[in-house]
Amino acid sequence: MRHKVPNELGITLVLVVIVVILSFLSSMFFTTSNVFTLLLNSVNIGLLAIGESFVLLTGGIDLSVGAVLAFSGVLTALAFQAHMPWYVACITGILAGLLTGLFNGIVIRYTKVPPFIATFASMGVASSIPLIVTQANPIPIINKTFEYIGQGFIFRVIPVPVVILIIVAIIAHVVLSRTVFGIHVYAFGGNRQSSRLSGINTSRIEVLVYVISGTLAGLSGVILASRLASGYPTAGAGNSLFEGISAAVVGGVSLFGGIGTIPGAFVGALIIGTLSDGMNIMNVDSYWQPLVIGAVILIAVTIDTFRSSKEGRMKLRFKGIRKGANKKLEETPKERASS
Amino acid sequence: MDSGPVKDNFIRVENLSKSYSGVTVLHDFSLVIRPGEVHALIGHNGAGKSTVIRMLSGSEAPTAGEIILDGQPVNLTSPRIARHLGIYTVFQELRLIDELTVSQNIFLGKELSSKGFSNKKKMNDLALTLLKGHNLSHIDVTAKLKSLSHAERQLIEIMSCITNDARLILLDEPTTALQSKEVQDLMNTIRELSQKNISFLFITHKIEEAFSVCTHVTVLRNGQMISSKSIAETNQNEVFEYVAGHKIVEVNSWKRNSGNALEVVLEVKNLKSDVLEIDSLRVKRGEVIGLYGLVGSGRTELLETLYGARPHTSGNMSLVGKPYHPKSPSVAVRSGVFLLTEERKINGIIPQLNSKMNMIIASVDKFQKFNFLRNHEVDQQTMKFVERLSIKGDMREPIVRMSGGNQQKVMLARWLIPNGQVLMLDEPTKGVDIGVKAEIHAIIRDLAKQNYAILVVSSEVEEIVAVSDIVAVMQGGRIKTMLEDNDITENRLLAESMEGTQK
Repeated sequence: MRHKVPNELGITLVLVVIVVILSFLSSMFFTTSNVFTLLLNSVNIGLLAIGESFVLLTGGIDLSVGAVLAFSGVLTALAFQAHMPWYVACITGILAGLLTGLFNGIVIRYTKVPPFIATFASMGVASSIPLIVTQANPIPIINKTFEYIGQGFIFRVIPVPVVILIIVAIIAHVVLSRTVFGIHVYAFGGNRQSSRLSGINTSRIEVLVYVISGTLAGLSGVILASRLASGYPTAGAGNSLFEGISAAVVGGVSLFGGIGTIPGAFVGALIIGTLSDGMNIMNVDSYWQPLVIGAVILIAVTIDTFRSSKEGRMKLRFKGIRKGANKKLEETPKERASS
Repeated sequence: MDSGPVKDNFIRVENLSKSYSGVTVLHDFSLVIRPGEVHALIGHNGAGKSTVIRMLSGSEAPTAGEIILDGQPVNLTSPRIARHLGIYTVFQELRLIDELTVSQNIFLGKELSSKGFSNKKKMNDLALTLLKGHNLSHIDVTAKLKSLSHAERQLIEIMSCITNDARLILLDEPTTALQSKEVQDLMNTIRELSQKNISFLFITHKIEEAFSVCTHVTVLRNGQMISSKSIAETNQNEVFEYVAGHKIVEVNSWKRNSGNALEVVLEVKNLKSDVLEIDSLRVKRGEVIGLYGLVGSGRTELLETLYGARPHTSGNMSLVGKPYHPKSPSVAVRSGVFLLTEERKINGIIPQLNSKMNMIIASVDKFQKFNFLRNHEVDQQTMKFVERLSIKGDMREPIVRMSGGNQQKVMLARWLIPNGQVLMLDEPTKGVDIGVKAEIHAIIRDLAKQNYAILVVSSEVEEIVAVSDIVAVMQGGRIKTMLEDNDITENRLLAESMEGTQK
């Protein structure tokens, strides 16, 4: 058996380099409390990136996840206002995400509206509803148990949301890499025609990935509401979507489907989270931060493309993937970095 | 002047070798191509033909050896440079753009312009003159490329090379997707252009074709040049033996089944769809029905309809006595009706997945427990088929790394792992080499013995004759006639499929 270097190695090295640089630049950076702050700030990015990965793997995209954050958070807060118990409120928030995802999936599958447009539309809807309902005023949540979800610690040091993220990541990884559904997701993203003609129930796969993405965005919204102790109608309006998708892409999930892993997306989320955290510690002007992140995304993706096409470029040219305007050009298999 | 004889030689390839990470795939390949010569390069998949093409087209640098043009060693470091020097390549998948017009495609990348605006009229006129000069005046230069047939597009691509002053055109298996009439047209064009001193290097599996147009034949096997002779010095049998390395005798030891005692597995009555009108078709257990007909006769459409991949308007189908309604491929697969698709790259393989997963993708349910994949069983089962079909290549690598023949075997195995009743094979040997072809034929016969009911579609008449118990000749979406036993001959099939088409 030939030993194989995992695909995620390259991106992990990038993370390590960033961490080392930041540790040199700021003595504050590599402290236990800051590491957990950093992880805590990566939770939302991570959850969105994991959900988004499922969608990206099928060759789709989900633009509604950022809006779902606010939608889910506000619905959770409204549930508390209606004196529901904390668990019902949480489920309400998560369900809001799940249903948005289901809606996306059904529209995309059965009306054949391109995912970009369909989720763009539901992004608009999902971001408007909380504003209409609340008139743009945050709804405070006062509940001790609920607070624990976003603000609590396990063993006094590990923030609860971090634990949730890790559990979700492990489950998602196992689902994608070990289950029939996971294989079908990769197959569907790799070649829709072949998958359908292999007898795979492709409708189910396509709808389910949006449900997963929506649900995780809903969960993320609940955690955010707990951290902020209120339902913010403008939560996630800024960079959440951008960061979630970039984390997945930086982590090696192809925008064209069929390629990518959860560990990759997870590391990608850490990179994005570390960068914004590091920049905050060093008091980088917030106007500059998206610019830096944008540059890093560009570099990371370029390196990855280079690495993956060293061998693949030949194939691309010769296995004749020239299909005119077809996007197949980008669909070459990711070559493994093998020793 | 000692450059005299050298100058006469249009392109000399000297001792070209190529190795990838230590593995040599081409040894000492030498060839001299003079103006107007048509060379055939014949060999199995993996013999090194594509490597030669890659190096001549400038896509890959040789590990050793030289390419000498007009006595000058040249460094073909990119396809652009190769083209600049007059070496053009026409790949199986064409380089043209569907949404542009014929003339725009011909002038792609070197559009004529005046004052910065593209001069449509001039391009159209020139394109028209060009096409007229090559007996292609029936093609409308202002039509969009997508309205043309594959064969016409290929000719357009060749025309586009000529406008660039091509001196050598490399053709990578140009006839795979063509009908026999179209092949003739292509051959005529090649002959005619070769008289204008344009040379060709024609990569093919098909020995007969090579002999019909080429002046020289070069045979590669396992990266070694086995022979390089002019047509006058050799013959088809000799070349065949060179290619195979030994004599391949099609085992025709089996006797065609024409028994009526067999159980009917799939019965089709009055099946109608937009392109089909099938009165009756019965596929029996242990029997291979060959479907033969010209492209457009509805062969593939019939398979796809039976598989539920294409809707039908009316019809009665039954599977082992029970009604069968294939609404979708997943219904068909659950009922045990399987289809090996024709376009392996487009709707067969899942390129990013490894070969193992590609093999089990249609039967993952067999390998799961509580939805989890049991890797151990997957390994066992796939290894079994790797041995049975002698699949070569790393099963853990993405399937695109395998050669076409091995990919095809993986596709075949995909449908042998689940328990099926009806196996439908659409062009089962498309793009595989001669040796694998014979193997696949043997496998098909073997599967019939194992009681599969089999439908085979093929454009190659020899293949239909080699594997079928019964042949259904299709024309215009109907089954024109059924042939059995001694009626199954190449001539009869060709005659039946052509007859009555010219109206």
